[in-house]
Amino acid sequence: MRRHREVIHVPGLHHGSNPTPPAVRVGNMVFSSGIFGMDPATSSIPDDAETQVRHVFGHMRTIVENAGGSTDDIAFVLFRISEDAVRGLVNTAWLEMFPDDASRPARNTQVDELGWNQVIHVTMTAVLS
Amino acid sequence: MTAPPAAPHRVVIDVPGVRHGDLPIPMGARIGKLVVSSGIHGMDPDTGTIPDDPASQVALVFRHMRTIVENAGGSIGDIGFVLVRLRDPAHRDLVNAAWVEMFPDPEDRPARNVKVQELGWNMAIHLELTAVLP
Repeated sequence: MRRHREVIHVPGLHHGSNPTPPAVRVGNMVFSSGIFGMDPATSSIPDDAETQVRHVFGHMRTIVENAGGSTDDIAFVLFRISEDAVRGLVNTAWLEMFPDDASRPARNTQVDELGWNQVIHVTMTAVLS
Repeated sequence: MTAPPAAPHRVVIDVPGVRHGDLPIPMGARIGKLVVSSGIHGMDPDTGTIPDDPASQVALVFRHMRTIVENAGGSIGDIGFVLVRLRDPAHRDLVNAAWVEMFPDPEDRPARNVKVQELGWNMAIHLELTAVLP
């Protein structure tokens, strides 16, 4: 029997010394912690904004898939971006991941101070079918 | 014979002694299996005030998190996500210590996000939780 709550891992994505899992599944819901553009191959955050955005969307997919779901199960995404210019990159990646007008997550985008070289920082909520 | 009244769809979750002043805001709400909190602050239920000491505030908010999920009929094992707002990033260590004490198993703890921002009313910490009951 699977446990009620379990941590979902994303290889190469970690929160340093903080006791923060990348994501968890509780019952049929999945919650991510802060997802940022860490390169899974190097565990560093690249300078290039487009690369960070691509990594973030890759981590979103890995989280729901490793939780036993798919990107179809993502219900809400909160995007924090360092400046408004990043929004265009988010929209491009968003449309690529969620091409169907009739089936995509709700989302909110906020411009915010982000530390550690981040241009994008995301939390998401998903519901497994 | 009449059917017993249906359980209400939405139920308010209280934490005795902890309020949002005179505002019409419960400390939490349960709808079905989903439990969501309002802003949880480090109010001492015995005094109705927020202590100056950040460590005391952290201890109190963790206690209130537990009370909310337990009063909702669940346990801390049901908490899925915690949004932590801190006035000062230096207080992250206090949060991490309380976090590991409440959630010692690295494979069985909530997701979380920590955000540093200005908080009013002497608050060093302010958080929100989402839980899913079994």
